[in-house]
Amino acid sequence: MLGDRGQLSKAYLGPQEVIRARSMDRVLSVTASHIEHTIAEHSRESTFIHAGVIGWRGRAVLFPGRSWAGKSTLVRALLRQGAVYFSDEFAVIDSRGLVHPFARPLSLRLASGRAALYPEQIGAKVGTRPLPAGAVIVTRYAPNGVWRPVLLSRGRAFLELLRHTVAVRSNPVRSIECVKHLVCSGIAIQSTRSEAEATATLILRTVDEFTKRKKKEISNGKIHATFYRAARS
Amino acid sequence: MVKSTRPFTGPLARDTKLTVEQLSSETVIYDHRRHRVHCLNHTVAFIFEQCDGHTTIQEIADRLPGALNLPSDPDIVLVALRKLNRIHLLGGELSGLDSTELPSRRELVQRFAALGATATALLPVVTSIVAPTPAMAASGDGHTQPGNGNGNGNGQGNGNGNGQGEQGDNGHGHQNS
Repeated sequence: MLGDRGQLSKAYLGPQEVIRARSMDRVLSVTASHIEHTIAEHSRESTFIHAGVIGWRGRAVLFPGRSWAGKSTLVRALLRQGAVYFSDEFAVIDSRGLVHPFARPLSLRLASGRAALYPEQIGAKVGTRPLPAGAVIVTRYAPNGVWRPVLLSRGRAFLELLRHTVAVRSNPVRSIECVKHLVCSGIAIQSTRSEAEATATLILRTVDEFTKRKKKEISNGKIHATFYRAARS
Repeated sequence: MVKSTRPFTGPLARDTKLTVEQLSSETVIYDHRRHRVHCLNHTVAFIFEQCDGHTTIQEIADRLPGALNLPSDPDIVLVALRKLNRIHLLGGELSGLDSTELPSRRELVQRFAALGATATALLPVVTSIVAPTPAMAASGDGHTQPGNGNGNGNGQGNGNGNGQGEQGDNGHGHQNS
């Protein structure tokens, strides 16, 4: 419900005042975010993880990260390289471990404020059906960051994802089940990175290489030994 | 765990208010009482499984060569038990686990360096995080906190004192060697 008193606008969800501000855009933006987070926290069917998500070669690639970590910027850079847009905020996981699109417009933070970007504006496709997880990329921007990917063990990937899972305290068993599906169905990689545009190609190439290597190792029946050696090196 | 009529003579794993998941060679444990999540490497997970209250530390050590290809050294078991005790995964009391005479993991690595990287990589490691509240999940604050694994989680670096953070118990935080 939106109230209006002179130039001051307010938004309510039930009796609770969500925001009051002079800018209607601000009121709408905060209200939308509040609704998204309420859904994420109380969803009975899905588990929400704070992450940017793209589709790549028929698999979902997740970038778990907090707000202001540069998820949207990185996702935009990946879309420019041909990835399919899923989300810049939440990975939505169902009970089978499939990743669903949560394709709100990308929310980019510019010097002049926030800007919404529709993926179609940069020629990107938007995901329409759920995908199995292919990779989890744990990456943080560093001013002089160099992309040096290492494989994470499943346990470490599990902790990284659970740390960004919205309802883990209120529904730990389901959260754990969903995150377990994710880490068991793909690879997990960790590295620092530099600017998003400079790293996007490297990330996609790494996903391709490591996925290929994993498939080869599975077919050779030696996945565990080599994976854990790499993760610990 | 196998039930026995023998009196309790060894370490006993806590088995209430925990969700335990096996992930390849690692084990992840959610502590519902403290809202903490622990990742045990293969060795700690194996030793945790042996803690039925009847098996002695020496008996557990004697199983290490067969199960993990590690030496039969009680210090390995003691270091793992100290880690498990600090994260509240042991029931009952075990004296001497906080003794300064116990070697650190680093000292174990040096002691077993001759066995090669694979063996030293198997020495006990536990990594822990605080399960986030919804707000913490959004902000992701306080992570990558080196710690001693004793679960005090003082929120260093974010100032919120809510105990969010990762506690690598090997003194190196994020990178578990």
